[in-house]
Amino acid sequence: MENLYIEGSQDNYYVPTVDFSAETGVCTISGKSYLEDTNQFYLVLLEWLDKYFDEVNKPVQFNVMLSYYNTSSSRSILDIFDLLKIYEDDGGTVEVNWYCRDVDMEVVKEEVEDYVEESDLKINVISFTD
Amino acid sequence: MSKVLLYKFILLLTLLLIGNHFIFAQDKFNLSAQLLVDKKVVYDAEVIVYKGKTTIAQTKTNKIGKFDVELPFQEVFVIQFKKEGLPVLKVLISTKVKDLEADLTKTKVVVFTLLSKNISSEGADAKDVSAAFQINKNGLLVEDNREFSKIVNNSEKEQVKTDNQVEILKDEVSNAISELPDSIRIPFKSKYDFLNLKMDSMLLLSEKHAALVLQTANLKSEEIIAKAFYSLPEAINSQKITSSSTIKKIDKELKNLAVKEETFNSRNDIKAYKLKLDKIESKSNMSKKDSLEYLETIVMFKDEMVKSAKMQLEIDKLNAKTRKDSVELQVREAQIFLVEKDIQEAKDKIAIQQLEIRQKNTMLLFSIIALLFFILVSILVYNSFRHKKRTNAILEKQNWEIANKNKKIIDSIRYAQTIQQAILPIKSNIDKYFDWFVIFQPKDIVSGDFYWFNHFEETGKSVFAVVDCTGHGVPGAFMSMIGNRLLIEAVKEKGIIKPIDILEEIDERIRIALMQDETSNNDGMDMCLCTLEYIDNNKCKVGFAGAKRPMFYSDIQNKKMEHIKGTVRGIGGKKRIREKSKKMFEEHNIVINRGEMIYLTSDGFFDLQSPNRKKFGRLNFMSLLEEQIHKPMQEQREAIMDALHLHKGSEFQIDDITILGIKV
Repeated sequence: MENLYIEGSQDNYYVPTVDFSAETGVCTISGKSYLEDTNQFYLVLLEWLDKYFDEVNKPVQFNVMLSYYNTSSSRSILDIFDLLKIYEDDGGTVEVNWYCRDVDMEVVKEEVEDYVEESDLKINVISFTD
Repeated sequence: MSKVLLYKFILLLTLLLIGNHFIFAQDKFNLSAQLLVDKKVVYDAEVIVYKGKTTIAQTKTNKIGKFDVELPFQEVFVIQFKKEGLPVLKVLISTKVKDLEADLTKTKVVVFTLLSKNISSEGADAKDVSAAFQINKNGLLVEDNREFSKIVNNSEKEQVKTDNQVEILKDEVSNAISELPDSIRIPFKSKYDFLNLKMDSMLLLSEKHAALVLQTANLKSEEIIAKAFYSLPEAINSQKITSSSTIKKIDKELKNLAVKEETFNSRNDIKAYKLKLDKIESKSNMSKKDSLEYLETIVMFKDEMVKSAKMQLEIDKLNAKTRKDSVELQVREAQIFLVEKDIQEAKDKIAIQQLEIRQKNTMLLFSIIALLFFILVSILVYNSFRHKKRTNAILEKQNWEIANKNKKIIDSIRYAQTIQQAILPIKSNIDKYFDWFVIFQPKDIVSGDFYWFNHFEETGKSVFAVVDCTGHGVPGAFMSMIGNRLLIEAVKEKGIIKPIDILEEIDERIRIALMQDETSNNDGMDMCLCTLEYIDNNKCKVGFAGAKRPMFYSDIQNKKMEHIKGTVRGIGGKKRIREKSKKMFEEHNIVINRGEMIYLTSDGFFDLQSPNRKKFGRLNFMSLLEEQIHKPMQEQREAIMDALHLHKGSEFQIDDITILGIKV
């Protein structure tokens, strides 16, 4: 199975950088997510994950390093979490890490709490200094 | 005695009268000449030909400075040129020639190159002519005194002959004297010796005179050579190779210089030269290059000839015994010198011609390169100009089109903005019931955020909502239109007043409206909604429900801000991937004092990033509000706006911002 890599960009919209590795099972989404067609973009990610769970069936480490995501993106991120939860419920190993700058800790913590509540996944909030 | 005297006089006559034994070939020499003064053609000049004191011909120069006169042979003429604006100039022409070889029916144009500074006097006087010309063996009139020097050489030979004879006679006389009886011998001898002495002094005098003449001649010849050098271009042009005769002439010169012909001609290099000359001569049309090569070959040939001649001369000098021999050798040496001079002259000409050819070639090459370069540059400039013009025209058109389209889109959005403004609550409507303020700052012209208000006159209940639809700009604005419409339907038309019922109603309606159970459409909205109902003059009952949005309210007494979290559930959106029992919206009911503040917001302000990407955050927002809650509405609004701008700095606003503040 091939890896998924999407180079992030920044003009009128913000495309996040997507780096999903089929070999290691480490999947990272970073940058800012503010897209023209959010659904279309995240559909690719969902399909890749679905295929990975189906074909590779190995532990997944999902890392979120988004410094900004809009309302539409937040809904698509929930979709990913839903998919991860289903995999976990089916016996897969899932680890979700939400990276956040220490300065934004207070804001992110609340957002993550909401995600945990909605997705029933365990999400580790990891702060970093830059 | 008289015999001796006679001899002496003959000798003197020989010295003074030259060239009396010339051969008469033709009666008249056709002089065809061109007059150049200071290298410029002199036209329409008066030409007078004097012979002695008499005028024998008179003509004028034509447009190119040419004139023709017929001159009898074996005479000396003075030709005078006169023209207004120029000084009188004269040349001496000698038609004296012996051994004439050429066919004089084909005379060549001679060029008189004179200088205006050499002024002559008017008249037949030959003393002050500017130049002298002599017909040579080929029938050409050349500015040369060589013939004269030859004559001098001949005279020297004659003199040597005469000297010898005089010596013999002297011996005879002294012998005769010695045989005479003393009575006669002594007086006679003294008389003879006296006469002899007188003769010797006369001879010495005439020799001196002859030397002087010779010296003058040499000087003159050098002057002529110098002049020839300066007027070389003309000389080169007028000099044409007189083909086949060249080798014949050279052979003759070989003889003159006493070079051993057989040995010389059998040399390989000489053979090669001759072959080359023949080859060039055989060409019917000689180019300038050919003639130059010809000249070069002749010069090389003659160089060899002179070398051989000089060698022969040195050998002969060693072998010379008699005075006659040495005189002959001197003559030869003079001839060699003349030939050398010829060679030098020719070499100079060649050098000049080569230089000219080189210059011409260089000029030609340079001109061609310059022309090609010019053409190339022209083409490039023209092409780039055309290309630029075309590109500019295209760009201009495209720019115009883009600007036009942009303007159309912006105009269209601006009009959409007026529609969006129209659906927002009318300020005076709210003013009737509340002291309030709003910060409504879309990211783009139109917004995905909107705020909503309704008041029920019958019950006195009011509903406030701040809605944050998915998407910004135009898509967001469409969603806001739907949201607005659904709120009106649910609250105004259906009369639903319970906050959670309102949210549930809208959620269901959106799913139906956007057919979200059938499609993958994931749009919807986050919302905070509150209902206000006064219990008495001092208390107000607040009902709140939030879809992912909180409500803030003040505790003025404690200078504190409180907040109630909304339910973690958005309104609208596609069916969840993971089947999960729907979370129910939670309703919060609180009673607050009149004068307290209630704030409803979208997430735009909290997510607003500073230049170092720090989000504004909820806690920060609450502490900001804590400082403002007691202040009048306008001041609060300004304070929040200031904080917003301070935080944002140079960073772009990334989302729509809506903050609604209500004083109950």
